[in-house]
Amino acid sequence: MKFEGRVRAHWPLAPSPNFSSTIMETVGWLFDLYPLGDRMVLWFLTPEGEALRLEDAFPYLVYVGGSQGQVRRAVQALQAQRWLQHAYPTRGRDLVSGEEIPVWALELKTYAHLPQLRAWLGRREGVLAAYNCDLDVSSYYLYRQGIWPSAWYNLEAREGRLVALAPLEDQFALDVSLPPLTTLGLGLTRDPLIPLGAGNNLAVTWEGRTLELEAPDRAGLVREVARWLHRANPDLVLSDYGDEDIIPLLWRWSTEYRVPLPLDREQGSVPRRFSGGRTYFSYGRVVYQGSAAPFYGRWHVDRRNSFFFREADLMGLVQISRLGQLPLQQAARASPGTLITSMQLARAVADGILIPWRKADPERFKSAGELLTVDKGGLVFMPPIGLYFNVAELDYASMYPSIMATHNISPETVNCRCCADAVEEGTKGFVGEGAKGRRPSPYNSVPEAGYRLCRQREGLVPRTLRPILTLRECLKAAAKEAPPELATIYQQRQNALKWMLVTCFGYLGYKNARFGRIEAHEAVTAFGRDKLLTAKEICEARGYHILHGLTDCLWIEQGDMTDDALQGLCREISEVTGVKLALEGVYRWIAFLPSRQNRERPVATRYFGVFADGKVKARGLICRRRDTPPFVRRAQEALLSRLATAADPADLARLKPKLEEMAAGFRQRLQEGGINPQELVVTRVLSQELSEYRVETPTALAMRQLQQAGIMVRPGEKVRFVHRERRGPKELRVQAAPFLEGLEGYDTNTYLELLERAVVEVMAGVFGEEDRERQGRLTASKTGPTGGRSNLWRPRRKGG
Amino acid sequence: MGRTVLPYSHVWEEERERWRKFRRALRREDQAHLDRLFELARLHLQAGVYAANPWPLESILMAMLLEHEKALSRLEERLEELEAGEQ
Repeated sequence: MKFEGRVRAHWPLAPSPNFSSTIMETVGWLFDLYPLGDRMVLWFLTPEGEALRLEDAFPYLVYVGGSQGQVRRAVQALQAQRWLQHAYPTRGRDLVSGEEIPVWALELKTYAHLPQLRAWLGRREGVLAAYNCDLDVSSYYLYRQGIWPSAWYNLEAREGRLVALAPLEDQFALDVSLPPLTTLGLGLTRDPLIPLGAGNNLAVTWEGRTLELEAPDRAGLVREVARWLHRANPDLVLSDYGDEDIIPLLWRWSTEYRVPLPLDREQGSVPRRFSGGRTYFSYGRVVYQGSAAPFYGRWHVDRRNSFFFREADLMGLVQISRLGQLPLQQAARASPGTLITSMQLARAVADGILIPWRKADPERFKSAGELLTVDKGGLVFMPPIGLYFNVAELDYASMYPSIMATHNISPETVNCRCCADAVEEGTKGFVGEGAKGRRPSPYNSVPEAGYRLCRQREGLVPRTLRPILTLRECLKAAAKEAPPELATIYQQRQNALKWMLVTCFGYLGYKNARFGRIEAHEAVTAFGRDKLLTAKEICEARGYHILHGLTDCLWIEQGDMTDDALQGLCREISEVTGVKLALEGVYRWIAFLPSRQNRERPVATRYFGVFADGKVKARGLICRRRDTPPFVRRAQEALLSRLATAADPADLARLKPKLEEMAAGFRQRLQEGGINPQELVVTRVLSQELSEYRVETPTALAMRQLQQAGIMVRPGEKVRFVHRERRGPKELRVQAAPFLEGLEGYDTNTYLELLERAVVEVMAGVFGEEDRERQGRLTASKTGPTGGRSNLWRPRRKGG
Repeated sequence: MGRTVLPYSHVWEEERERWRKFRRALRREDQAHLDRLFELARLHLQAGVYAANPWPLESILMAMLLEHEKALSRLEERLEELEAGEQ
């Protein structure tokens, strides 16, 4: 195996013949890195916060395999192109079989040759197998060195060159520390839809104060920003809308007016292109992903263009950049899927596995019967509509990732060749009930599907997941023990990990994922259904009644439940199934709501309730929807908080007049007027281009207003508007943000209706039928007598 | 994510659709009963999912029967109670 084994101790990285120059030894935090020409540039921060720039030689390594003659000819051709620095025969491990195969390693002269080499190899697909050729250069460097960003190292450097480095802490360490960071805030003074320099201005936040930058013209504005960057020399520029709206414009003006703008600490010239964002489909939704504007040697994080910053703040970014072995600025803009893939790639490189370029692994042929059995998701019960007291909720912790780790589910472990003879026939078609819910499914046989799982090698996915699962458990435990401000940080970090774990499952069955395979995905859900049913069976055997079940949660009740008994129940189920089941809490009361379209029909995901500690949990309610105006959301939340004070049926009944009073108060506020327009804003995500809207919906009207003002919004982006007048000319029906200043009036009736729906949703859930009648009337008036098939099909009311 | 098989609730929806003509020819008051039957079957979607029967109507009919059986039991019990009270 010619993959250089990497030892996590001092090792020479770039031995220099010049022994006379002095070696500098220091401690540094790996802050930023990027490829430049033919080498990597690394930025470290010292404990004092000083920035240190070091270079390290790193030739990009591609592997090619195939018949001996073909490979030799390819190497000769590539050498003739003068793209290669070095080429030699070596061996690597095949992902699927786990066997070592002979390959050639090709070292590239500069990174600039990579696209050409890829194109060249692409033309020889089928003849040559190319490996490791489409990795991100910075990440590949980190994988090969076995190091990770956002951690402390002992460094040895000579003349700006990294000589050796050794990590001072573990990649999965429970505690992380940062060097002192100077932060400069950058934002817009008005709505981001208003272009910079055309009604919008820049705001700079520095040492707790925010200033509006005043400049006579564009060149002046660039000069002003440059002055701030010089003066503050920030490590982190934390912006709102920097990626899309601020940086690209400033950079363009800087070039146009020849005013230098020191975005980077890098002195050499770096490539900077703004490609514009892209719109794509994900999980049935249209999503818009903005373009990126990273800096070199300095961080730029756009809070509005970072999923992980929104979910987990800066500490979350530090955590994922370390785990995912991605430079922090890339991690900030990455999706959870990119991150988990990067971790899997790192694992593969560390294990000497050759990473296939394009995945060509079609689904194994399945009969229609097999498809029916396995191609389905988690089990979803239908809860009985109504109000229930003393209900316990039990949740499996990270069920799908735990299943992958415990049962060794990975693309290469499902029906592997190495264990083909190891399994006796009898296990096919095993279902949990055969064991009366008392025995976990056989370790390596998938319930329902009957697939085999490898017993000899631990798969790439489980190997990647296991340390994340462990770290997340530790962080959750630490958050419970720590004082509040520290607990928040643990929480943020564990939340970042949660998203990686959630995505990992999705990626097993996603056909574009590098390490995905549909059979592995099916194996996970099959185990999931088995575990939920096993839990159900054990609960029932212990005398509990199942109210509701949803993929990895159960809602149960019993005459007198004690915490001790419930904890015991959880322990028993955890032991039997091999996945940790925890008591989420005991609800004082919980209301399962009917479908919006049909109030006789139960649905799985609309409920709200109050835990013993007074915490409200609500799902599928109006206040949880993204398009709900803040005023309505707050009104519903206020009702829920009030309800949370009730402990028993009598309390609830006493509260009813109070809630009516509150609702009347909200109605009155709407009628009186004088509400801040921002409170009434409806937010909609665009699903299509303006020209594709055939009906003049409020969304289409708002979009047109923006377009007339010269503002382009793309599908996947949001429009925000206030309902103004229900009838009358189209132009007056809505008012789109950002043109809300000085807005006079709004359509009171529309907002009263929205409010009423939110009120009725809560009241009907708790107080039942009479209030639901009102809701029924409202829905009917909205859709009209012929609107929607559900009306036509509405069943007879159940008597009694 | 590409689904090869419809989610079970869609299967239920399709099955109901398949009986549309049958329903049309029923008297209005009977239509309501038919609708109710389909709604009853919906209460046990998860069992239909798990069983993955190649003929979904079988699972749907079984779920309807199950609810009927429950209703019958309830009525019998209630009747016994009432009769016991009369004596």
